[in-house]
Order: sequence, then C-alpha cells, then structure tokens
Amino acid sequence: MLMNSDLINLFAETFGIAEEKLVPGATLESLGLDSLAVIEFLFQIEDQFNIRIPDQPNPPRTLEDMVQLIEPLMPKGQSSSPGAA
Amino acid sequence: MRRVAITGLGIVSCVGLGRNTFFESLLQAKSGIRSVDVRFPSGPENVLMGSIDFNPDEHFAKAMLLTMDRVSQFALVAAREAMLQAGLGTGLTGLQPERFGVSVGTGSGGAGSMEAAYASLFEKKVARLRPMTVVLAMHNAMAAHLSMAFGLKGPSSTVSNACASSATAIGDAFRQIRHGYADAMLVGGSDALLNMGTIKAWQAMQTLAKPHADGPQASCRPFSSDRSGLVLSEGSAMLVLEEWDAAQRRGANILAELAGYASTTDAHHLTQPEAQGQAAAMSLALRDAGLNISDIGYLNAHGTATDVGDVVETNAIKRVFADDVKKLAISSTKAVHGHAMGAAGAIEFAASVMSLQTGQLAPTAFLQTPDERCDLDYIPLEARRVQGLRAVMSNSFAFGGSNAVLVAKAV
Repeated sequence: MLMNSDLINLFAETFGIAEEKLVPGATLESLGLDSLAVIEFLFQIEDQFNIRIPDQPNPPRTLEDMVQLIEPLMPKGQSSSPGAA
Repeated sequence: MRRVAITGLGIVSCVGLGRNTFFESLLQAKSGIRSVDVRFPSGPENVLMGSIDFNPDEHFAKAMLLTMDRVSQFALVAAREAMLQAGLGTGLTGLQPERFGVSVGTGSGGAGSMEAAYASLFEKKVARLRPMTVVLAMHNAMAAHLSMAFGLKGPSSTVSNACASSATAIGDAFRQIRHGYADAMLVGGSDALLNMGTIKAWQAMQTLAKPHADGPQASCRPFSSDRSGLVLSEGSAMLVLEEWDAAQRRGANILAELAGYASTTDAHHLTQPEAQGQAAAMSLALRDAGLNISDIGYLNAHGTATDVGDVVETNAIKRVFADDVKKLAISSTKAVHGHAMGAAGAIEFAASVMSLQTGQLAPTAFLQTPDERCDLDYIPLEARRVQGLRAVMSNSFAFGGSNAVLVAKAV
C-alpha cells in the first residue's frame, strides 16, 4: 500500500527515498534514518505546517507511527492519513 | 624505520573536480579565482574568491547530505578519487581496517553550518536549531565521514593548525605509519569557509587581495611587485599513505615516497611570520628525509601573496638552501587555486607529488614583475619540464606561527 499525502511527499523529498518503500509498516531505521534524522524531520514539519509536536517519550518507530503522531496536529485540509490515495 | 608510500591522490579545488583538471590548470596558469557578488546584510559587495561550482546532489544521497557540511562533502569526493587511484575504491584489499586510519586538517570545519545556525538564532529568531547542527559543524565530522565511508577503523584525528592544518595532519599520519602505529592512512584536508562571517573577518585583517586590472582571476600574485594580498578559496585534497613494503606486496601503484616531515613554531607573533622558524622546519624536514639541499628539485612555496609573507619565506629559503638557492625551482600555486586555508597544505603537497611524477613544474601565475626582494627562481608565468627530479618540498606556514614542511621522493 502506498501512502500519499503532503507529509509523505515531504518525507520522500527530504530523504530522497523511493515512493514504493514508503509503506505504513516500514520502520524508520529500515529507511536509513537514525533518531537525529527523525527529529530533524519533525522540526521541519513543525516549521512547514506551523504546528508544535509535543516531545515524545517513545519516538516514532515506523512511518505509520509518525503519521499518527503528526496527523491530528495538522491544519484542516492537510490530510496525511496512510493510504489516502 | 618503515618507509611510507603515496598510492592515491584526489583533489577538489576551485579550478574543478579531480586531480588531472587541477594539475592541468596549474600548468596552464589557469586561475579559478573570480569576483562573486555577496549579499551581506550590510549591502552587496563583489568579493574575490576561489569558490567551487559544486552540486552536492551529484555526489551524495539526500539523506546523507542532511548530516554533511560542505567541508565533509569536499573531503569525501576527494577521498573517493584518492582511494580509487590506490585501488581501494571497492574494498581494502587485504589491509586490516584497524590498521588503516584517518588524519585530516581543517581550519574552520563546518563553518558554513555554524553560520547558518547563528543566522537562524539572531536573524530569524528561532527558538531552536537543527538537531544536526553539532554534527555538521564539529571539526572532526569529516574524519568520521571518511572512516565510515571506507570502513577505516585505525587511529583518527583532526588537526586545526590554521593554514598548516593539513600539512601537519599528513606529517602526523606519516609518523603513525613510519613508527608502526598504522599500516595505512587516508590523509589530507578540507575547508569550506567562504561564508559571510569568515569573509568579513578576513577583510578586517587587511590581508585580502584587491582586484587586479587584468581581471579578477589575476588578483592573487605571489612574489610579484604588485601583489596585494591573498585570495580566500575552498577545497580539499586527500592522499592515501601506506607502509612501503605492504603497498608493494599488494601490487599498489606507488606514486612517490613521503620521505620527510618537520614542524616548528615561531613563538614570535600571532600573524607575522618569522624566517628562522620557517627555515628550521625546512632544514629538519630535509634531515628527516635523509636528503641534502641539492636533492630538492622543486619547492612548492607557501607564497600567499602578502607583502610580508612572501619576503620572509624568500629569506627563509635562502637560509636553508644557501649557495644552492639559485638552482632551486620554486613556485606558489596559490595564484591559481587561491588560499584554501586548512586544505592548502594538502592541495599543494598533492601538486608537488604530481610534479614529481610527471617532471612538470607548475609556474607562479601572473608573475610578470617580481618584487626585487623575492629574487629567487619562482618559475614565472610558464610551466617547466625538468629531467631527473628526485625530490620535492612543500611549505605550509600558518597564523599562530605554525610551520609544517613535507618532503617527497621519486619512486
């Protein structure tokens, strides 16, 4: 299942990852991202969408975790749900 | 003592990517210096510099670039070329990773990333910085990237000794191999400091060249009567050093022998060079190599094109080479590639090694009218072909009074 949203597009663009790898269950580690890279991306999301993502005791592990963390905070009309295509 | 072979060279400079482009530009006296419109907050200014047309996306994946300052990007591109030439591009071919180290020099490390961070803080007034700021800016980031890229697990160090940084790093690595602490070392230097803060700081020192009437490219004029200062540039040179016998056993193509190194400190002044300390470094490097003054057929001078520096270096060379000094061919290649600061020593040592390999000596570009106080054979304007070049010397002298001299011998 491909994911299609501004969020995923931004993710693919930031890290240069092929779209077919961006399935919900993909771990961020398997996509080549370490914890700093994940924080870097979350900061980028905050700046781009003008939202504030609260600090996480357990940082997102999969792409789906990340989408679920961010989606409720997104401005209306900015869908980021997995498999929205 | 173990001998040290040079088996690979890679260069990124303002005349282009790759060692052959670099050396050809030196021989043709084709300068990479230009005038760039810099949009300072105080207003636009045309600044002379040796900046590199470099598209990182052609060399690195996006995810990788998030963690790499321009200084590390240059180093890695140069290192790939050097490792490929050494026959180590796809693996270490029997060399033990724990005996293969990294020794690099940089004056300013990730200065561009740090400036971007300050701009965010003070201009954009952000409350936080990029999480990668520390790992982008730290001086040893390039050594880390190099070790990870090639799986080098031996000793690793980063020298910051201003303009002598990479020459010192190469010398340190030479000793690591010579004295048995490592069998191979990836060495060199990189600097990428053409950012606004660095440019303004150098402008304030009143040591930068003014644009020359013949065009911006001709503005860095070492040993010339109309020289007006140095031109900042950026770039990297990387070399592969190996223990001689091991390099021979694995069938490596040995380019030259790194035969001698010495470093001294003037203990005199923060910025004014001193002939005594420079001469001592040259003499000690010769002795370290087991060579006489008559063995050196070419000297790549530090020659930054400052009023004081070129005269002091001339006097230092005279002290060392004494009666043989008029027979010595010398040039400063900074007229072509500018002053790459912490990378300068490695870039110029690489040029010296290429002269040793080819018998072609790069000229001092734009040296139409020498300063009468700089009355040595500075190979004016045109390259020279020589027979039987046995050994070369490369000088690097830094603010802070650090002097580092490297000597290489023909195979």
